Amino acid sequence: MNISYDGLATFFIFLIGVPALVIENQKSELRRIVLQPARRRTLFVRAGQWIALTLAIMFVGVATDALHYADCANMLLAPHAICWFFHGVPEDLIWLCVFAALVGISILATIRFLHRYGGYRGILEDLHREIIKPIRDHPENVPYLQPESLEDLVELGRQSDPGQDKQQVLGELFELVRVVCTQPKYRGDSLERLILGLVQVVGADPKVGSSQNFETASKIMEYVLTCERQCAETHRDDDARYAIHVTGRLGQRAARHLKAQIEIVATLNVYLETLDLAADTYPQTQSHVSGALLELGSTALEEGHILAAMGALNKLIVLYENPAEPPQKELTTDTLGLVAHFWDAGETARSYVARRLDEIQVRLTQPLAAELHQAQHHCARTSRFKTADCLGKMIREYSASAVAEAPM
Amino acid sequence: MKPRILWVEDSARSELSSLVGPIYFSGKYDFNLAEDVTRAVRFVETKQFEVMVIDLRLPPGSDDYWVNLYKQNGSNRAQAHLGLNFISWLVGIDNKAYGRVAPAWVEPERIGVFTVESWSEVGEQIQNLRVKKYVQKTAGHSDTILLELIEELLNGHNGAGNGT
Repeated sequence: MNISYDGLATFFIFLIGVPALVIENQKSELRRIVLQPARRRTLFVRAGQWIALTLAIMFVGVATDALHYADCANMLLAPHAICWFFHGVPEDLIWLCVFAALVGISILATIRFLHRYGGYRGILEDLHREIIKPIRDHPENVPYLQPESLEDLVELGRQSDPGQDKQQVLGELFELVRVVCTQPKYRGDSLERLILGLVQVVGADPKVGSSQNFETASKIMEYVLTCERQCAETHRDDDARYAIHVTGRLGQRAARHLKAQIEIVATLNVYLETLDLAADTYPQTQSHVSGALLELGSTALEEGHILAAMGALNKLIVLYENPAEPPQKELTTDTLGLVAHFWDAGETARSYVARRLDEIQVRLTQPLAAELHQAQHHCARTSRFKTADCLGKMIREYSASAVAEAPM
Repeated sequence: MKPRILWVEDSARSELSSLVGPIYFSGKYDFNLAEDVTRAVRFVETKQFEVMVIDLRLPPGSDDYWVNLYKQNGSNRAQAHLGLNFISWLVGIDNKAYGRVAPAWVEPERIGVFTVESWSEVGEQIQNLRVKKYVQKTAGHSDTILLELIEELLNGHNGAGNGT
């Protein structure tokens, strides 16, 4: 027999090396996911399948080569016809076929490993399968996302670079939200971890998202807030409340971190409109929406995004004029709170808000001074000291300046 | 209650301050901005608007129906003209394919088209949709053009094909 053991060993070592090479060249955030104990087994099984196939082909090659030299007349194991067939085949042709098959397997294995582990797509597909497994296995239950894999997905998003990498993770999170929201048993309380995870993915240091990432996060929130629940009889608003809270928080982060980006005004506007939709879809959450509008509006004002701050005030006043039943006192506090931030933001802002104050005053149940005091007390109790300070300043200055300044 | 206004527009990002600022400053309107068709549909299904100002070049958003329509029409905003499809759905001319019923409160007279397309390019289609107000976006438009358009629509002033 004339077997090229060197050639066979080369292919064998190459195939063992392919997974190692792919993993070694992965981005660190992807490698961390792949090398977790639970997934390492999957990796070994996948690599093992290719190695087993290689060994099988090598075995077939050696066996065929052996038949080539065998004495077919005295063969006990192989049928004579097979033996005579291979006996007549040139040895070079046998090894040509074996090496062609090994080359093909090496190429296929490399492509498959690169697809599966080389970038985000394959790993996101694996995570997707793991996360929705409880939903797939038990569609009769309230949808539930597999928490460990979801944590991994959120962590992957947190460590990803802003822009396209984060966008891929956000796309996967959006897809999961769609899957959950369209389940027959979804009742509005299955997405807490995912929604709170968005703050980590887009808004957490050190890799805060780009404006595109922030907008996608807002669209995920919007989907949560407006999706039609199939299971209306047990309808809950937990996810909506989390979505409102996170929308306000991310809006603030965007206002602080995207200052240099030209699209910041539009990005903040997307957040404002999401909150607006929330107030209409879930009137019972109006106080949550007004709180988020106050936080977003005051941060926008502080960072110099005046249009967004005006938008937040506009939406607060519209809410204030059309309160949900029963009226929530937080709405008055938040509206006056943002007014006070404007009051503290310079002459033009003060003049603008003095005019808007006329719209608010007609609906107050007490004199303005009493309402301002009440709002200040409420803000102090709820640890919003900056807003309380602005309200205090406004209380001191309003009566004098209201007479002195004519509204613009 | 303040009149509710919906502006469906995605390409005014650099002009938001100048176009939307006067509206916020006036304090007269409950103003909403949708940057894609999916979001615009969510708005009209959630609220009733007195006036809608719609661009013709719109991205589809996340809804599969609009995404597919966008792809079928070349995946290009200028070519797809999803704004026309959106208006068509709104006024009830084409709502079978979408599978959602357009709100009954929509009046074509309260819809304005504010777009870069010239009247010669889209005028016939706009007329077929029974939309009476069309304004072309040009480089030298005034900062208050949107506010003026809204006020005209609210006051019922029609100016079909005037290409302002």
